[in-house]
Amino acid sequence: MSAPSVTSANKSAAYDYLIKLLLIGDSGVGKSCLLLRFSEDSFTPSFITTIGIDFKIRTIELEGKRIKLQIWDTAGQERFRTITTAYYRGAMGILLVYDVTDEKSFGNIRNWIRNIEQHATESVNKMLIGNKCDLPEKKVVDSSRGKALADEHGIKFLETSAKNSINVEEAFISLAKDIKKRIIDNKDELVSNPQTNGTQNLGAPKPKTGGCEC
Amino acid sequence: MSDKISEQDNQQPQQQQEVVEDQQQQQTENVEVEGIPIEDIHKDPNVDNAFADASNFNIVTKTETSPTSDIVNDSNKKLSKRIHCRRCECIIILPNNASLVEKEIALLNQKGSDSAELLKYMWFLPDMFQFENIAFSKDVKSQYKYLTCAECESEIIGVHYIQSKENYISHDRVVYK
Repeated sequence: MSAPSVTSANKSAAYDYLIKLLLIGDSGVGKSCLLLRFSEDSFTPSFITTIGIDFKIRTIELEGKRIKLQIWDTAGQERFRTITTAYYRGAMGILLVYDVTDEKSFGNIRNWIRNIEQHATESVNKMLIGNKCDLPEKKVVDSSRGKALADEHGIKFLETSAKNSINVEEAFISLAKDIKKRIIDNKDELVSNPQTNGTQNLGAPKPKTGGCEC
Repeated sequence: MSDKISEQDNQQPQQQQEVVEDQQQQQTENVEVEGIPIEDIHKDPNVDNAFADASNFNIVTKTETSPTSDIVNDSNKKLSKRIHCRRCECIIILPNNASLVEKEIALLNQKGSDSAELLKYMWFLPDMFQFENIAFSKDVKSQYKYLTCAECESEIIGVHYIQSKENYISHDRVVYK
C-alpha cells in the first residue's frame, strides 16, 4: 500500500480514523511479508531482522479520509498456538492468513477463528487471506475451498501474493473500508481514549492542530 | 522535552569505555561485550533483545552534515520537506510533523557490523501517529524500540522510547524530497 500524496502541509498530521489490525495465522504463511514491499534480500539485512517487528503504522486514504492503520504482526507468537488476549485488545480488524501451498495452515484457520472468538471483541472485522498465490504449481488449497470457508463464517476472502504484490493493498483497503463503515454506523465505537496508551490509541477521529508542541 | 531516558541509554556505555582503569568495571564491560553469543541471547525471551543495545557495540561518533535551511524552518525548527527512506521511496514523515533537535543517540549499523554510530541531529515526534509510515521493532531491554522503514526494513533509522513515547528519527539516515 502506498502512502497518499498530501499537498496541504498544514493538515499533514490530521487523520480521520485510527484502525488497529492484526495479522494472524500459522508460522511461515508469509504474514510478515504482507507488510513488506521489497523482498528481504534486496538489502543487507539489519539487526531488525533478528529483533523482529512488533507493529507498523501505515497511512492510507479512503473515500477522502486519512486513515492510520496500526498493523500488528503476531509472528513468533504463533508457536504457542494461541495469541494472548493482550494482542486482541482494541483490535478492529483481523487478517487470517494461510498459505495456499500448505494444507495444514488452511486447516488451522478454524483453530485461529476459535481463538479469535474467545479473545477478540465480537464485532471485529475478519478477512481470510490465502497467501502465496504466485505459486500455482504448488497450490494445494483450491480457491473454492477458501471461498467456502470464508462464506461459512460470513467474512471476505482474497488470495494474495506478497512476493508479487498481488491483492495485498486490496486486502488492507477492503478490510479498512468495512471497519470504517461499521464504525460510522455504530457511533458507540467512536468513543476513544487517546491518552491511555500510545500503542492502543484506537478508533477515534482526532482533531489535529499544526503539529507537536515542543 | 526530556532527555533523561536517552542519556541513560547512550551516554553510559561511552563513559564506561573511558573509565576502564577500574578493574571491576572492566570485568563487567567484558562480560557485556564478549558475552553470550547473540543467537543464544535471542532465544531467551527474558533477555528482551539485550544484544541489540548499543552498549554492546563500538560506538563511533559520526561527523554529520547539519540539516540545511531548506529542510528545517529556522524559526520553529519544524520539518519543511517530506522525509523518505533512503533505500526505497517510502514516505516516513510529512512536513510540519517533526521538529529538529540535537540529541545524541547511538544507532546500530548493518547486521554483521560490530559498530554503532553516535548521531545527534534528530527529528522529534511526540506522537507515533505523526509518522506516515514506520515500523517498530520488538522491545529492547524493555526500554525502547528501534524504528525502521515500513516497506523495506533495511536499516535502523531511529528510536521509540517506551516510557516517554517519544520518537526520534536520525537526519543522517533519511533523505528529503
